[in-house]
Amino acid sequence: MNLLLFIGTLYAIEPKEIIESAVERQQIENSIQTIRMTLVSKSGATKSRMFTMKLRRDSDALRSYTRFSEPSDIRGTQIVFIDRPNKKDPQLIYLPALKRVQRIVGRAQNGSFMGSDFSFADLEQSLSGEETHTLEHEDAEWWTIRSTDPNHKNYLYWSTKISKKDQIPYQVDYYAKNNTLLKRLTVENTREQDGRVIPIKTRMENHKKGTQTILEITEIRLNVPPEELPLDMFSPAYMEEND
Amino acid sequence: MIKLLFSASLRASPILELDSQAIVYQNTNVEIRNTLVVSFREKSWKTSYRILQRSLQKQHALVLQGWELEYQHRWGPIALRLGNRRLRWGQLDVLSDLDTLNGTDQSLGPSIHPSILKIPTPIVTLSTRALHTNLSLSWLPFSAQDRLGIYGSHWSLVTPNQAESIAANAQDWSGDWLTEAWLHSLFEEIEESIPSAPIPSLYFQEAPDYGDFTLQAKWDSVAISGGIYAAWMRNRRPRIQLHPTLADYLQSERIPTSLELNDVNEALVDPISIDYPRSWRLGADVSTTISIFGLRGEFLYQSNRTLPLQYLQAQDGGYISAGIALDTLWDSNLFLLEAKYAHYLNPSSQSWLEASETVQIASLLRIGLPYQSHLQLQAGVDTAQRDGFAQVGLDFPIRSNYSILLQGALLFGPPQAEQPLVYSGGVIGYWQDEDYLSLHLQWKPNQSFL
Repeated sequence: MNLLLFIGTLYAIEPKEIIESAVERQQIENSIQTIRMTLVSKSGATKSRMFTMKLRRDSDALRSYTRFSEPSDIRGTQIVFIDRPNKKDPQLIYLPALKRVQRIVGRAQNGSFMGSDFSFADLEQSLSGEETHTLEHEDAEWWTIRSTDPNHKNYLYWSTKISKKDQIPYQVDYYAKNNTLLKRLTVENTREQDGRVIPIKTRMENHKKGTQTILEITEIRLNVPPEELPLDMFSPAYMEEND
Repeated sequence: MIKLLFSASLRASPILELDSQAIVYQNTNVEIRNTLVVSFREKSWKTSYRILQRSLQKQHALVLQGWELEYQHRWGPIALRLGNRRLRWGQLDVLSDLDTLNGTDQSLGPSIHPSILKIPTPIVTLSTRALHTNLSLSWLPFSAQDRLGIYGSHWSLVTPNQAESIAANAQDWSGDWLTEAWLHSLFEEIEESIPSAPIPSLYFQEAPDYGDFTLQAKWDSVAISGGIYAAWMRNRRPRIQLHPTLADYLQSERIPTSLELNDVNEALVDPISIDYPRSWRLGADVSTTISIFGLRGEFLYQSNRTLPLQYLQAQDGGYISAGIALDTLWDSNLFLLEAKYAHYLNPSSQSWLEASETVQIASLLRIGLPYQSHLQLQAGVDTAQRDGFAQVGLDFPIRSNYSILLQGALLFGPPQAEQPLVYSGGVIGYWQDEDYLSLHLQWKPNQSFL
């Protein structure tokens, strides 16, 4: 009887609810993560970057502060995102060579994140509210949902494959405006920690350029007290002071 | 303190960087520059050393181009920072007049990256932050100075060829043949009184006094930042003046008579004076966004700035400048445009290498190419002096830690004058015979060396 009720509930779930649930499941509360980013060129040559990312979630916004430690030519580069639903804030990049904060806005936000195959916009976790979601495919293990946003600058639509088991999106295919597959995001490894499923290894393949970017979380602390992540940390002044 | 830093250095892992550069100038001279950068970083302090080895015309020099050391300590909202540091004021990257707290290394030629151009200097800063406002008070005990080649180097105010040209012209000057020997002693005295190495490694040291004081108040949010600045400081650029008696002979192109020799000998005791006048500086800057562009602006009023005049003379007076910058970033591409209006409040028609009033424009376009390589185009122009430069560069990684950078620079300006001390263009045009091609090989390991 319980099983029937459960199946009936899932059957009734709208694609929008699945996506929203997946976004919510992906959302990490206050945390400090150390991440290795590996850039793979078309020829297979690799380049590695290390950074620490601090995330703070409040009722109004998700704030992230990133600081690169390797390699030496980008060491000290800092990035601040303020991700608010239905609002676009400029992203801040501190350039240590110039000792200046650069604001990135509008179309520039769709640009590459530190030379990787992720755009700044790809890293944002919130939905704009303008998306429409339709169920493309469903089987015993997966939902595949197509999302479109008429105002999105980079993609015609994107197709998300969500596990019914843990409601984590394991694959996202991003389609260019000419309806060709542009990029594919794959979650290759997850870890359960403090009751949450954390994507530990994520790969973004750029089908147009033939390049790949792999993000691997090497350390993660969840449920970090807000005092360790003061609001002041997500400001230009903090970035300049922590050159 | 030194013991603490030394023991902490042993604990911290050093990061090494090597850069080897060969520069071929238009006049076929070849210069080799090898740079080693070693840096350490711990939680409360960081330090780095930039050692430059230069070889030019069979002469070699080893220069500690810059060393940086910063220690910081916090007591709640109050922070103390001290050390040999670089500070940033203002918002313009290339044309800034506000960002001059540190001296700059002018001995390396034009279009040097700002991070290398600035010479770290001892600075003590006390700052506090409340809400979105930050207030900083800094003391620079030794007053920073520009590193400037005056005579005898590629990028000096009087290059070797120009000195020879002046001497050759002087052979035709009118005057008493008995005093012709004066010419030789003039040039000998000038050469002895100023640094004249092909590779200037030193700059003039003014006797230390009470130092410079600066105050900075900044307000910021994610969308917009602004700041106001005030400073009582020595000018970073030296005021260089040839003794007026000697300048008069240069201007009138004549050799002194035997009756004037006493005056000349007195002038030759101290033929060139070099000092760094003090001035007030008041400035403001703002940074925000407009459409897809980052928008930045800055303003400066300086109570006393030296305008160089012909025949190595100088004139002091007030100065204002205002600049604006636009930039946009997309994919791996960057476009930046800066423009600055500058005006000496006490103008002169006899100005040399700098106009009393001008608009300068600089731009940069960096384009991402396949295989993680980049093409960079840079240009700058001074509308009043009708001079400028264009530079093209291509960098590409050959392995993950090694990269190659090819660069070519073209300098242009009004035609060279027979007498360089009256040249009508700006300093870039003054160096127009120094077009160059350069090849960099850079090694930047991903991780700590040890």
